[in-house]
Amino acid sequence: MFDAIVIGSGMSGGIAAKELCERGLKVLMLERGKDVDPSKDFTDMTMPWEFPNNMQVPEEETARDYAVQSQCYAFSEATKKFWVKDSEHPYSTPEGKPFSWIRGYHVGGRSIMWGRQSYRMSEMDLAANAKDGHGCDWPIRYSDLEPWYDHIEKFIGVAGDRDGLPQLPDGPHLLPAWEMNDAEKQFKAAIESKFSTRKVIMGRNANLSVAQPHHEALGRTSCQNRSICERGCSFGAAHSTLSSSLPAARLTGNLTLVTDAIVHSIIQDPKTGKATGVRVIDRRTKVGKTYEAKLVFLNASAIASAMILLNSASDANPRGLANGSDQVGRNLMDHTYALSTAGFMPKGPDTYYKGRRPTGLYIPRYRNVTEEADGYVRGYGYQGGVMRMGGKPRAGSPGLGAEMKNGAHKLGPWMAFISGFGEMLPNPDNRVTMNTTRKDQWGMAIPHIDCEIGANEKAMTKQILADGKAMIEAAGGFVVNQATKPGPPGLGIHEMGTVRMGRDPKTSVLNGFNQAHEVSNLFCTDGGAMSSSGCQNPSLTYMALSARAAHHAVEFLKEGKI
Amino acid sequence: MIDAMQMDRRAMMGQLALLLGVASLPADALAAVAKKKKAARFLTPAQFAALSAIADTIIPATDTPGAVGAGVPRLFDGMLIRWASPASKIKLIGAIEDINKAAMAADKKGFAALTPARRKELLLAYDSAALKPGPVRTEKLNAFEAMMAGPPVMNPGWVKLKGLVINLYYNTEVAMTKELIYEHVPGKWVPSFKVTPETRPFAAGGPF
Repeated sequence: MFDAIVIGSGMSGGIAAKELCERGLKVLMLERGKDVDPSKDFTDMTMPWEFPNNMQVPEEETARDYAVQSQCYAFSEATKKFWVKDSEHPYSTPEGKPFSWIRGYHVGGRSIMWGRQSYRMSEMDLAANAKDGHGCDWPIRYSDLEPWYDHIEKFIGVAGDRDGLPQLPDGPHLLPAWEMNDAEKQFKAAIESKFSTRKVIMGRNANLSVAQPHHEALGRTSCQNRSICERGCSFGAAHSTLSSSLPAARLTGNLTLVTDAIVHSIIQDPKTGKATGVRVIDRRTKVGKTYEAKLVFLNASAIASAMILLNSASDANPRGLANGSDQVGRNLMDHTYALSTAGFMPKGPDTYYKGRRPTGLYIPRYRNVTEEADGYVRGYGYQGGVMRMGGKPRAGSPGLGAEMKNGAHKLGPWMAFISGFGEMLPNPDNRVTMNTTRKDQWGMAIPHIDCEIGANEKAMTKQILADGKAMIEAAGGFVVNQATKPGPPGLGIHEMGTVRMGRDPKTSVLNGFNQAHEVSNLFCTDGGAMSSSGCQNPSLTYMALSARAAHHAVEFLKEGKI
Repeated sequence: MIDAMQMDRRAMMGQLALLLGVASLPADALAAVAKKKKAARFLTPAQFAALSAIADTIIPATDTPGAVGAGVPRLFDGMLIRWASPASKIKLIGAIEDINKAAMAADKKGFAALTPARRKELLLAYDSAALKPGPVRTEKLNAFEAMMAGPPVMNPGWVKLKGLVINLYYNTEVAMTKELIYEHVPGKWVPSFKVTPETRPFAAGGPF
């Protein structure tokens, strides 16, 4: 019997387990995949030329086993081990409605390969559903989250400036931001002078620009500017479960980690209505086992957490556990993604930079904030940067021989690129259900993911692209490449909303403490909990919600409320 | 200035086109490729000689080793064995054979038998023709592929071959550290320094 079970060891599960352990609870962390030994499994110390296949995964293997995962920019020969084989972990989608579910099943989950962009949601984001009527009202506001954002930014280490923007709050523990290069400073000056209501800021990222003593106490050191974070960071400078939350949890002596344990379902006592534990299936032997605890934290990631609840159906709960509202699995959101615009900047400065900075520029949301939108609600932000071309020649550029080779010694022009991330509205028809005919190799129904962008996102996409072009041109550039539509939903890897928080048990699954309305000792603090998506990268919010819920869960436990 | 800009645009587009998939191929061609899997070297001696001559023409030795000196033909052969799909194998080998054919048609000799000067003359003309705008693609592209594809060229097989030679060369230690500059652990981020005639680009390993 444990005090708490945390299902999942990724971004949110790592924090939930750490916070529960630090409050004295004996915690069992369950991970469906294998263990990861950073000293053996990270590939960040391998030199580029030591990879036998020029950093590429064999084409037939990619098509056979990684057809979806390979769509992710971070998939390569160096990181292949961190992505699931799609062939072993299938899911279904309706004809003509693709969804790219990008996953890593191992200790740390996607916290190893994530993009590390770390932004707070604002009061405006948390009030958005109430204001325009989409989805259900968040049961919390910014003041509820603010101390937990502070807490998480301090613990994981987020670098960034205190920009003082109401739509993108910041906090007191931010580490020094990375500095813009000269072309980026020029870009920022041009945008902010020509669009007085827009800001270009340095991207806030969970890399230790300057490691603090509490980071070093966990064996972490400052970032070395390699920008190969997705291979695992042996310096511990990039936040992941492995670099931060797991070492902290282990220091308490309260953590038990069990790997290769696929959670089948959560067990509910029909008399008390409480969760008593979870059923797992051993990944390798397929033998079932049950673990018991006083508290259950669901941190399997939005789609998987919804599937576990649906798979926990019983006579008393035929629709699944904690699903009286019928909202479990619904309201699946991502951000519209890959809406990129790239352009050359012929008037760039004659300077260069050194090192590979692990973040870029960020243009915080301005539509429906400081500027009106063209027929849609909510808004978008951009990530990007300005980099200097040159070096390796391009095959599509005419020429060869010594002239081409020597030409590669010269620095090329500056290129700016900005990529919009648009808020996606909660839509109950975008949902995950259990496939009624297909099962995985462990005998569980596979997810059926039915999701597409709606009219609001389509209208927003037009303006994301139009603004992208206008900003590159306003900064003196000329656009050479632009997307025409977003990538498939899911490819933003920000899936969320399937176990949403809300005030009303009839329309939501979780209350303001991430506690299931119907199961008092069950909490879900991964992306599933999100009532709306904002347009910011969401991991920081998942971690803040996890720490906050862990705090309250322990209080409730002590008070005998659960 | 306008021309230079257009070249830049095409240069970027052409490189991105390498990410494209390939069209369907006849079954017997795939079978022929499959039979070769167990050979210690994938290419025949004649094909390997042609590839070596092509790679050496694309990236010759200068004050640093060229493609042959850096071992690119061997790496290329390894990619055929371990990485390339049957369709890619056929496309890459087809591109080598096509250059051989062009040499035979022009000089009645295989490409490897030509002098280095003649190889370069012939391959420059071949490169120029191959990169001219081509017919509209018939294959279906997803959103990401469409974004990355760029305009089609007359001879995508050549772009694939040339691109693989370039990619393999610039991923070797000698190219990354002698031709360009590579530091695996840069340590500090230096956001600005003045460019001098000696400044060389960094061999990228990340976005910046």
